[in-house]
Amino acid sequence: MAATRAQAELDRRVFHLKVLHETACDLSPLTQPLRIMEHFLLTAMGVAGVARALVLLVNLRTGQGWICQRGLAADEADRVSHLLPQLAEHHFPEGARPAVAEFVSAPQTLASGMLPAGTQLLIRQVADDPYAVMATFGARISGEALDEGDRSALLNLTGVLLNALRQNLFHRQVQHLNAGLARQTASLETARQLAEQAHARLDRQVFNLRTIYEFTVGSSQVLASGELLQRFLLTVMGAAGVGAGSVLLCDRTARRVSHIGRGLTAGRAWGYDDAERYLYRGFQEAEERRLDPLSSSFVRQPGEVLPAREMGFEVAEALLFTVDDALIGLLALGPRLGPHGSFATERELLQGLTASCMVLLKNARAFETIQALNEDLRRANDDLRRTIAELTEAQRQIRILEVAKTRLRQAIQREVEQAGRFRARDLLLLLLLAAGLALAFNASNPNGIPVLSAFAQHEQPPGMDVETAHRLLAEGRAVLVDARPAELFQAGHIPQAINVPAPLFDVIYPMQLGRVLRPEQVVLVYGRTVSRRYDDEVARRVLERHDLVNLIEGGIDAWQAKGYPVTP
Amino acid sequence: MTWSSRLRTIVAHPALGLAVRVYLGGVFIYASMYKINFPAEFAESIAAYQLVPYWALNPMALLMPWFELISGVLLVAGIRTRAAAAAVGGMLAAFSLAVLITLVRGIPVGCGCFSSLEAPLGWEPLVRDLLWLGLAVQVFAYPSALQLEGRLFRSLQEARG
Repeated sequence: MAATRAQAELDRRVFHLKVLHETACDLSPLTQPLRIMEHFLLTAMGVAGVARALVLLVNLRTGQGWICQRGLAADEADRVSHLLPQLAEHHFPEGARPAVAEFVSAPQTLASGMLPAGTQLLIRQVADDPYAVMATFGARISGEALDEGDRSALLNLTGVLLNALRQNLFHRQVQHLNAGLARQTASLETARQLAEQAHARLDRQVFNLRTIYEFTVGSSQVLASGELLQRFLLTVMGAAGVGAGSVLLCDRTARRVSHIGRGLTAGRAWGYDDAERYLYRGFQEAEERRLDPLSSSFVRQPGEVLPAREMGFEVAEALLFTVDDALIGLLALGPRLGPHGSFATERELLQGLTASCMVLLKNARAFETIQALNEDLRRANDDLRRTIAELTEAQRQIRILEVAKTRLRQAIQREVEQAGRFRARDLLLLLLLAAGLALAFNASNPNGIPVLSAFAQHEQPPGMDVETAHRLLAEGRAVLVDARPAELFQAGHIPQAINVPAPLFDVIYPMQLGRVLRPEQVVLVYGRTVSRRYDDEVARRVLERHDLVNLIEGGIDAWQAKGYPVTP
Repeated sequence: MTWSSRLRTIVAHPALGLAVRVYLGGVFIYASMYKINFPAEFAESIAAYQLVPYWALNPMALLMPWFELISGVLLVAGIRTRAAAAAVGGMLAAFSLAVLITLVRGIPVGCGCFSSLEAPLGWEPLVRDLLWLGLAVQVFAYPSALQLEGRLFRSLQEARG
């Protein structure tokens, strides 16, 4: 009997172990805690032989959990599921949570009102903080009390349940972590994209700043507004990737406009009033209507405000800038080349460049002003220098005039003193004056005479001594001519002589000489005074008609000295 | 007052000086006119005297009438009066000497004093020239009235203050 009982006990134990093993095998693949609990409940009810049982898995922190029951009334199960937080608090108070499974079979605890009615046994254990498991069992169908083997089997079963639940919970936790990880990966990706965007923006800003910096550095030495605007336009067009653009700059004080364009299809000359009108229209459409110095503002709908036929290109973006009250400008750009299209990202750069350009323009204007002032100063200096020179010259002239005055005074004094005196110098002056007047008048006088005729070189007829002449005359081989005027001839002459004065030569020669003269005869001419060489003159005229002509050397004086006769 | 002093007063009188100046100057101006216009004839007249060398004939014939004219003008105007009087006196002395020499030499010659168409030379020109020489000496020796030069410089001196 004892052996049979021992055998039965052994069989029961084997049965329990089998059940445990099967349960463990069954539970391990299950993933849902509710399914695990269901499975456990069925097995435990079978092992314990009870009709009503309930399993709770409760989260001690939140008070929520799963509930699984068999054989309970629907409202009973509902009530229990509503009392989950209170149950958790009651059975698992803080600081006294059972780490191992414990049986509670005390009737006062079981009849607390929270558990289903008719609960005979309660097993409770913290499964895995914060989760806890409770299982209640009703009365056995057989009506017997649970023996030690059953209890042990139930505990073991509970352990299997707990293991399964733990595994499940761990699994869930891993899943949960996975999900978190995935979420974090996604947010990381988002952050990365944001960082990339930020990087790109930073790059662009660096590029913008570099462009502005290079423009500023490159143009800081440029002090002419025109060249500055050229550089500005070139930089802007290059940075924005624009094929056409222009800059208008209105100087209100000087009423002058500078216009620079690039890539225009049609150029036009900008008058001041035109430019002013377009600038005004630009201000009407400006995004910010401000006129502060060194401010700039984009123009809304630039294509309409600045029509293409006026600007020479399709205006896609326009920026108004105010350097100061007197200097207002407009930067107009054509559409961007390439795929960019919009100017949205370049606006900052445009404004930056414009600001830089305005500062440089202001500098240039200041420099121009200084130059103008310098020029004024230089001109004033020149004037001053000229005035000083004139003054010096005037002073010099005054000094000269003073000297002249003194000299004049002295001269007058001298003249007054000498007015009555005789001076040889005056005679000489008189003579020189007379000579000058005489020469001048003679040159224009129709009756003028040659001044230096006596020195004119001409060939003199050959001379002949008195004896030879006398002999030739005596032999009749010569004819004698007295060349002097008639009164001198009459006053005394050589007896054979024929008087032929030069003024009457043409009359007397043919009459008195031409008839008697034979070709072989010599014509002998005499007659000269200290003042006149009559013989020379007449002899030369005779030579024109006769070949043999001689002058008597010494004339009538030599003739007389030889003792030859003279009449009268 | 002795006769001599009275004579001197008359001779030294500025009015006489003025009259002599104007007369003598006028004579010389007149004498120069024809000779200036016809220098060839004047040259012939000078040649007749046989005193001037043949090479100096034309220059002299040109120069002398102008010298006479200017001296005459200065005399009349009273500018550089003494120099003009000296010039006139010098010329008159030279003429007198030439006439004298010619008369002594007995060369038949026209005077040539005013123009070339004149009677043969006699003693009258010599006397006349000597008389004029005396007048020239008077002008040279004594101040005369209405001298332009003196008035001019006096007024300049007054203007100068």
